[in-house]
Amino acid sequence: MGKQLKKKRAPEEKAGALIAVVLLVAFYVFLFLLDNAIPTNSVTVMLIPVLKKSAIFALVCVSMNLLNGFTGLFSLGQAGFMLIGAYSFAIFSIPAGQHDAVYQYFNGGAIRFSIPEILSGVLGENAGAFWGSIICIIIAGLVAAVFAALIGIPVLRLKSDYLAIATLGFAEIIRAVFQWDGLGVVTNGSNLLRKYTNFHDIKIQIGGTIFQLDTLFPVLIATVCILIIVLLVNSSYGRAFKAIRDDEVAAEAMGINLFRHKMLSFVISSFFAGVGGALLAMFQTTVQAAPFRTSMTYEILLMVVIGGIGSISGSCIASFLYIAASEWWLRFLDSGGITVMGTHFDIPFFRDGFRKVVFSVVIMIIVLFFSRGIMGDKELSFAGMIRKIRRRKEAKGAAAAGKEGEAQ
Amino acid sequence: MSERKSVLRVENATMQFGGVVAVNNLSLEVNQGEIVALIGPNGAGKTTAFNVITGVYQPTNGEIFFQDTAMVRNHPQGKMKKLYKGQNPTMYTGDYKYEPDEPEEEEAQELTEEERKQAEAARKQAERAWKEEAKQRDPYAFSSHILSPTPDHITKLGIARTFQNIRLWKSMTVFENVIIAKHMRARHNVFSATFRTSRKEEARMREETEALLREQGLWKFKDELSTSLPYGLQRRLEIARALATDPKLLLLDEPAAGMNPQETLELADFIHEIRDKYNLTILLIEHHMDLVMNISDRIYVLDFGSLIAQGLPAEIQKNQRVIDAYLGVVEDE
Repeated sequence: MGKQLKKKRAPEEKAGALIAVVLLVAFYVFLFLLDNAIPTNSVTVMLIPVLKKSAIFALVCVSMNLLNGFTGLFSLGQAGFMLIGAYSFAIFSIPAGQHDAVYQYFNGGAIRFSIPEILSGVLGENAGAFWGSIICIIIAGLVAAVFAALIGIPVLRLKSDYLAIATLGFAEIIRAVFQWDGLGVVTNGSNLLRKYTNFHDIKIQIGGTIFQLDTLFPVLIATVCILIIVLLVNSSYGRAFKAIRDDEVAAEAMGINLFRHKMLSFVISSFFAGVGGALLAMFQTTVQAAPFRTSMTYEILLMVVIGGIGSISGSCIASFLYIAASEWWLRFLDSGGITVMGTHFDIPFFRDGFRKVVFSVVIMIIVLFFSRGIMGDKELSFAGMIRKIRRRKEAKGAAAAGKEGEAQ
Repeated sequence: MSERKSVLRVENATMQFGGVVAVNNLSLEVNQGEIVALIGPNGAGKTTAFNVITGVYQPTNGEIFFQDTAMVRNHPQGKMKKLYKGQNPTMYTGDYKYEPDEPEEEEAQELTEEERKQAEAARKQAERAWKEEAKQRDPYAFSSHILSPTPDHITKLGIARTFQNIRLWKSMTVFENVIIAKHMRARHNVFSATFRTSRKEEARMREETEALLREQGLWKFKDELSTSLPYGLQRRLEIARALATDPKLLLLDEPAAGMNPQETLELADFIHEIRDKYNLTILLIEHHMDLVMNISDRIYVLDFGSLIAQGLPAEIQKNQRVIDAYLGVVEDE
């Protein structure tokens, strides 16, 4: 009986999954080569940071989408949880020898150990940095999740806009608290945290040679986390979240404990926001509370909306497009003119900040013409594509057959 | 009939919204295997009564027993008691505020430390005695009496419902709509569900959902969006979803709304069928009198929140108060 129950997979689904895996592996290989083999040129100089940053933001967007898109909780606390994650990561990975320099105004700080350093002593330098930073990333997520659980108890009783205001306020409070001198021995007050493990320290030793994992590492972590969220969304709990989004009253009447499920979604989302924050800290190589302001949450929200609320692949695509456009493709607008074939043309509007004007217009156009985002609430699926192509072929075949029939 | 096991017993339930008494001192009983109808004109408080039973609202006053165990209970105290406009004042005998007679403030200054302690102890003793006495007069005198489980808890006990205006999950397919109702009883947690270590449980949920959908004749629509179904099937899907929670008592809120006479006839058979098949007890709100008189074992009639009649269908049809308040127009035709 058990065998009959197994979900029968359509051949398209299998083929689609295979294509996805192959593409993902190819992407990883490309990143590995990018880190180690491909020499730097004018493209890779821009591409590498864009890839890193968009992987990080893709993760944060997907975590926000879990909350806003799948559970229907309009929360704007993402930057706050990222900040907690970033600080937790940095605090636990500043090498012991650097504490006096980093915490120079706070007598070297209170926490005087570094997890990557301790692990380096056991596993060797490269493995220590690798596993140490993974442990620190997990700690960052857990700390963010604990904060989310505490803040969720009062806040999750609120609905829609009120929840948004409360979480926004929470994020601002967190930012202020982390800048407070009273906690300086831990957070270093409003000063920078630096010298902790960053992407450049992540190396892997195969045989005798050491390979850099600068770009591969954040992309790998982000994809693993996004994969976990995808699994969650497609599980029974994910269905329950969607039920809450569609109709709370019906969900509660059908036995779904609203508070428990909202809390789960909130805590899980914050965990991954914390992980995203840790990765962002690694990317930036310094952490300060000041930049984690509301505008960062709005940026994330914008990416989620552009990608489509309720679409995970949409969030990933949108975060890449958003980061690439704002940091790379539209850069030339700031440079005073265009250089074509070696000659420079001055264009009057092209000056510092013009990029942001164009970018805002582009976003407005996207929101006007794709009011439900690039993907709506659909997912990018290779199985669906295969099915579509097959159907089109069949339709063509049928049309041809019909014509033949008519001719005869 | 009274020898049957009681499934639902509502005692003196009152639901107030500010000054409006939506349900006034309602008492009703539904026994195992019965089909009981709750009828009355629009705005009589039928749906509010459903919402009180299913935990959407906490009643201002009253108790609800499910299978003879207290499930919901509230009795207004203090300030709430003064706001209480229901018809059950006899239940409350005391004003629960301790006021000792004539506190002797002037002498207090002359007392020594020892004497002051003694006076304090005596005062506490008196208060305790007073509390005991108040409790004897009214078993729910102090605030420990409130029982107000959330709707999901009540559903888990075994009460499922449908809604007057269909409340299906709109962005989800027929299959998903039913399988979500299975979520609450599944043995899994968020980790085992995410990392697929409770695959057997998921497979069991799918199997049960498939069986239920096939029984209800909805299997061929399983991949369609719930809202794309025709109205009658949406109602049926809502009932299927309620059945998926393994209820003992099913509350149907106007199941025949918007149906033509033929469909209404079919619905009567359908309700009998599910009652026998799933060993259910059914409480329903309905305006189609043919259906109500046809299928119900007993009928309760509400008007302006109060119960005006109860009894067998034949008795209700002849009851003058019911004819005046509700049936009148229908009977004249």
